[in-house]
Amino acid sequence: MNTDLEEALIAWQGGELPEDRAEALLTRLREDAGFRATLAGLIWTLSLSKVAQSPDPRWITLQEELGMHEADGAGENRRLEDSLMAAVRREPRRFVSSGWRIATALAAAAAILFAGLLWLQTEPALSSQEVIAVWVPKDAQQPSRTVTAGPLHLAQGQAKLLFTQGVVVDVEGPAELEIHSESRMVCRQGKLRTQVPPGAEGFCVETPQGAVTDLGTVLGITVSAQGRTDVNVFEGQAELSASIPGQAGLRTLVLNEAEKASLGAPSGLFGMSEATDFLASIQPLLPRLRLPVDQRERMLAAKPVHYWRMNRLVEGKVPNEVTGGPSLSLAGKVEIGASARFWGKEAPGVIHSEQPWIAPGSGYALELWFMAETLDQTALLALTTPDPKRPHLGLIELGCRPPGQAAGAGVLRYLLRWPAGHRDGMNLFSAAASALPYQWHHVVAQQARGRMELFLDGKPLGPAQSDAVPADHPAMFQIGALEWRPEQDLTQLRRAFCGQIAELAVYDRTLTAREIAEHARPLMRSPF
Amino acid sequence: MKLRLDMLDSAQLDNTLDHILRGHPDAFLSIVRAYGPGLRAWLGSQLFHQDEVDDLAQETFIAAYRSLHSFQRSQDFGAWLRGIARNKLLRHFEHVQRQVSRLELFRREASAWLQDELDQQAAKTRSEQLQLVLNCISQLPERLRQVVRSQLEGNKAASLAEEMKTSAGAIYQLQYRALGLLRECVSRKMTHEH
Repeated sequence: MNTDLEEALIAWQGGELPEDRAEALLTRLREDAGFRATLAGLIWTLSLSKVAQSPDPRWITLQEELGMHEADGAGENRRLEDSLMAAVRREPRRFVSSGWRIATALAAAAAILFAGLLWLQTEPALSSQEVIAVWVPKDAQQPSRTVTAGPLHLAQGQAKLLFTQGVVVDVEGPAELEIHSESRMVCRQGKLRTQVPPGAEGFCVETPQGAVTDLGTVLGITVSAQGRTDVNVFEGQAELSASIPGQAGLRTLVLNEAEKASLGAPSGLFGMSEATDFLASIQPLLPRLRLPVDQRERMLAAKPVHYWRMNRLVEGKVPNEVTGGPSLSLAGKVEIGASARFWGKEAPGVIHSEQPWIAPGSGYALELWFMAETLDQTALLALTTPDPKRPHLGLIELGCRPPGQAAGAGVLRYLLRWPAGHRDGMNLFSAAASALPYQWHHVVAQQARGRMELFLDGKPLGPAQSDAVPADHPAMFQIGALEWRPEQDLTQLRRAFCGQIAELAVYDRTLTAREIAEHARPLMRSPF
Repeated sequence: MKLRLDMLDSAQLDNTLDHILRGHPDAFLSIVRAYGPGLRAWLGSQLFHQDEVDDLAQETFIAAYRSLHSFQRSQDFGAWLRGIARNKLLRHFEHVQRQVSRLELFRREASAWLQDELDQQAAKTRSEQLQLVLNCISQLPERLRQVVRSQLEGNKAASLAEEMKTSAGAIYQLQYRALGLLRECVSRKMTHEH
């Protein structure tokens, strides 16, 4: 192993480097041509691998320079979408053991034709169109999509299924699945890893040889092309069940943590499993937020009263780009990189103001970009009074189910309460699937004398009229949680957001629809 | 991600430039497609964050488009673009307002010493190599692939180490090994292609 090369490469990427080593490495760089050539080769390979794996940039400013308009790119994207959709087969729903291998082969052929991971969802046989889950391809070549009841085929690659009840199922192809409900799915072939949170116990995966019921665990389930099923309990417990041919009895076996078993014997017996190739947890590639080069200048030109980009820290705080404006403080686990990253319930964190802002009752606007990594009900931005109980004035949050409606996913909510409180208020909800995870979204929530407007990705939702008209009032910002009090136990942080937030701007006026559409334009896809 | 494999030979480049200069700015997209990946890779060898890389690449293409009439047809277009990008990079370093860390200083000084070698790498890189890199990444052993795909930067090594139940040092060792294998793999495939 060449220590100098390794250390130089680590330092190149921002890793730790002992102070005395920097000078020694620079000296070697100056004096050793062979060392320079090898290091340059490694750096170049590293850089190429980054470019190869990153999405095409969305160079809006360049498009404008070339006089290209949105319709040009949209046309190309439509053609791409059309070609992809041409590969989508529709087929009747089948039972677990009937002729599904043919369908698999057809799906694989279609996917290979388009050279990559392609997920195909067919017409559900069940009558319900209720959203059951969201499908997130690992490589982000296809966007997240909602899943209703019906078959799913994954010819190759990996993906994540986020169920609206909180269950997460990682999938590796080739996989042949069928979604029945929030608590039941069929796996005829493929590798799965299920994570079942408290409250969703009983999630069941049916296989050709029996069923695996997750009792609140992390499980690995591998179903071979021949139908052999291996189960590994990483955490918690699972129950295996298999019917015995010729009788009504059902054989069951409870597996504890670190235990493995196989289903597959024709007699309905369970066997020892020697399988080791269970699926590890999948982390989909996170798309980057692509903004114009002069984003800061563009935003400041709109005269916000506060503008926190969330992309840097100064003395441990998120600086305000508006001269003289207050910085924001961090509590818990929040990472500041190109944006602010929050880790949800696993490691709660919040960004918050220390001093109140006087929100004008006559009107104000809140603007931000976000990308969620879960379907949980989570708060993006909460406005509360400085009162120790932090009663809410306004809230922008994500969830799955608007009151009185069927389950969905990626529902955005804007809530206005006046007077401030914890119970009643006026809401605007987006349609289901408007703000799916692993995609960046732009949101503006604004009110003027109680008239509420919500814009998602530049498109208006609403308006609504609050019963009572807000007066000028002091407001505290809490980003990534429902509320935050200085003495609060972080483990008790409610609706902790998991994902990224960037470019939070606050205005003492409402924005025009044209301004909002302009600010949301980076969402427009690049034609190259 | 759509990989653009179409390289422009000098005749195609001349035709494209003529077309643009005759009032068809959209033809500039062919140039962006052909030279974009190489330019981004070159900027990526100089800069820490991919966002900054892409921003500067865009600025470079805009400046190139505006100065297209001044490009001498006998020049290497890729080298001309890198020249513009180098100026952009210097201005970027001058105008970055945040305090420059010790590691960034190391990187900039090291980068200055590696200029010639990185230019040589850029000059001999064909855009087809991107596809080969992807193929080679997919052939890496699982743990090495996981490290390469996570694109270590800043404190990502620590979080990946936690996820993979190992140390940050071990993650960098895996990456070092992976990069060596990738170089070999790409080189082997390039040789076969010829």
